Amino acid sequence: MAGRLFPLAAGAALALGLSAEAQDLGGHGGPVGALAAAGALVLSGSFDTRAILWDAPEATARRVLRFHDGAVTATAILPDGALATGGQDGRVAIWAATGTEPRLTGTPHRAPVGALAVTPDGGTLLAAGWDGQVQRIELATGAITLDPAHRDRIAGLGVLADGRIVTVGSDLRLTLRAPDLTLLAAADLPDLPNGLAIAGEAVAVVFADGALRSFTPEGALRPERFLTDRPLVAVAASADTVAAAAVDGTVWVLDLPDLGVRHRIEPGQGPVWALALSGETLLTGGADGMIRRWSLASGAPLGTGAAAPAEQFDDGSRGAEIWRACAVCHSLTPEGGNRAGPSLHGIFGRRIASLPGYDFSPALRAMHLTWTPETVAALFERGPESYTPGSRMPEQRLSDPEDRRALTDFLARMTR
Amino acid sequence: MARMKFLCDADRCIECNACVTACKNEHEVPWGINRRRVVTINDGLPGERSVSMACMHCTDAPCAAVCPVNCFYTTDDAVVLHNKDTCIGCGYCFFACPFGAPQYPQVGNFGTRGKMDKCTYCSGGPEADMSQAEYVKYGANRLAEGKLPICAEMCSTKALLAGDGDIIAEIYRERVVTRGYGSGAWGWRTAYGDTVTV
Repeated sequence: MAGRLFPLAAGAALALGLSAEAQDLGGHGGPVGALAAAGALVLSGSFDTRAILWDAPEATARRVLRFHDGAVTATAILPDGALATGGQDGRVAIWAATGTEPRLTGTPHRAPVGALAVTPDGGTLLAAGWDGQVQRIELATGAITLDPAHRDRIAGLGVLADGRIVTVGSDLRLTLRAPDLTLLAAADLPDLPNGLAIAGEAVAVVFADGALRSFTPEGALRPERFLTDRPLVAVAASADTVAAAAVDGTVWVLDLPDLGVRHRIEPGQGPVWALALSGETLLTGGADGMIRRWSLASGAPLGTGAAAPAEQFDDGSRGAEIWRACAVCHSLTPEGGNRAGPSLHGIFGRRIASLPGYDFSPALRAMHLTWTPETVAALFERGPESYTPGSRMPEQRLSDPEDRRALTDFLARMTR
Repeated sequence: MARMKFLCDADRCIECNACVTACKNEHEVPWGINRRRVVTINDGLPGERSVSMACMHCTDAPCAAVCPVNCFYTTDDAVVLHNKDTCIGCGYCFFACPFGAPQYPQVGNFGTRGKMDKCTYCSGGPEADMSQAEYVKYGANRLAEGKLPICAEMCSTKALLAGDGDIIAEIYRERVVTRGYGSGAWGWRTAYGDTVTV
């Protein structure tokens, strides 16, 4: 069965190489850093600045959401079908079940949004920031309450069935709060937390020391299990199952409440930054930009495990070596599509910000510049901040003229 | 070459924050970024401990393993540094770091992807040693001047030690033997894969 692409958000034409047979969800142009699942729906967020709503059984993309200036770092699916995204830009967006623009946005955090959670009644969205603040957004009225919950980055946020809120932060604290954010209890944590998931009445927290620890909502330590000597970076839980991922890409599925290991999975997609549970399925989002699915019963992959479309352009030259950093955001071929940055296929001779299908910043669209080896070299000599002010491209410079020449020679060979 | 390490003796730290302040001052670290911070657990309760946390310059640095643009490198002194010209501010090193060391500007002047900043073990970056360009991007290069990191030099109780790993581990062993107790060299095992046996 051929892959299908449902109508996408305006200006968000992605080359989604979908295949229902593969069962793996491929379409992001960068690492997947956020996952949320509800029924047949999966909402993913990526370094490519996009969020994608997937119809999981069909392995098709329903909507592509573009709003954030930077990676989408947190996602949530609301009970009424609305969606929420949080970004590296500190902004929170709430999207109606249809439409191409958010219907509501929160107060921007001063730092990336680390986690989103919805109250059981679906009436309130909570957003936790790396600035230590918890933002409470009343979805009906848009009213916002801010609470300085932690003195450092909030690493995890969850809502219990009774509406109480649990957070963990880099200040090594766990807090339990009433629905109105009043502090009810606090406890110290033994190490740096990297994520939190609610598992019935328990709170599962992954730590940088490689341990998965469960707590009561008040912060009393329940069973803990040291899974690895590498930092754990993602966690997801249901009432009887918890999954945790390490920075080396290993994923464990464990039984609650005793944290017995049910499966150990090696997705082979680089670091796994996001996990979600959907019924009997585990979803993993990795550095390869793919979302893979696994059976919770057997630990077996439900998809083919096919590698994400990778472009190999290493011709052994210095230019190819420099290109490796560019390849995180750009592809060289039409098939590679747009990622966080536009495809560079045919770049020389092209007017700046003229490639169809990519949402260029207004500042770039207003510029009069044609990309040539000389202008690309100038971009990396002066840096995008100076040469193309207003660009979303991270500041990059090549101080050595030979490196700049090597890169433009490489681009001339590879982008024809 | 020495294998440079940090050692935080949690039984000595009095949470004075001299390390934090000295670091900010020495490197003119911008507002909103702390390359080093002091975290206290069991605050005000029996068993209270404070630890001074920063990049520990791990032996097998997880930040380097996840960096999509390979901006990290390790010096001959085993100090883990990064190249800000290459960094794209993606933030993945932050998730990978067991010590929460990578920091990002709260307001980037090119969208949101400010360059990552972290402790350099007072040894600058890839620019020429002690050059103005190196100072602006990475701060002072005290190692090139024959000095040790300012945080440990300014530590009022010498809870924070910096230097050759073998030497500072021996100092810690002598302390534990003398005083008869030790809650461990915080973070040592995570960073360097072994423990300071006494």
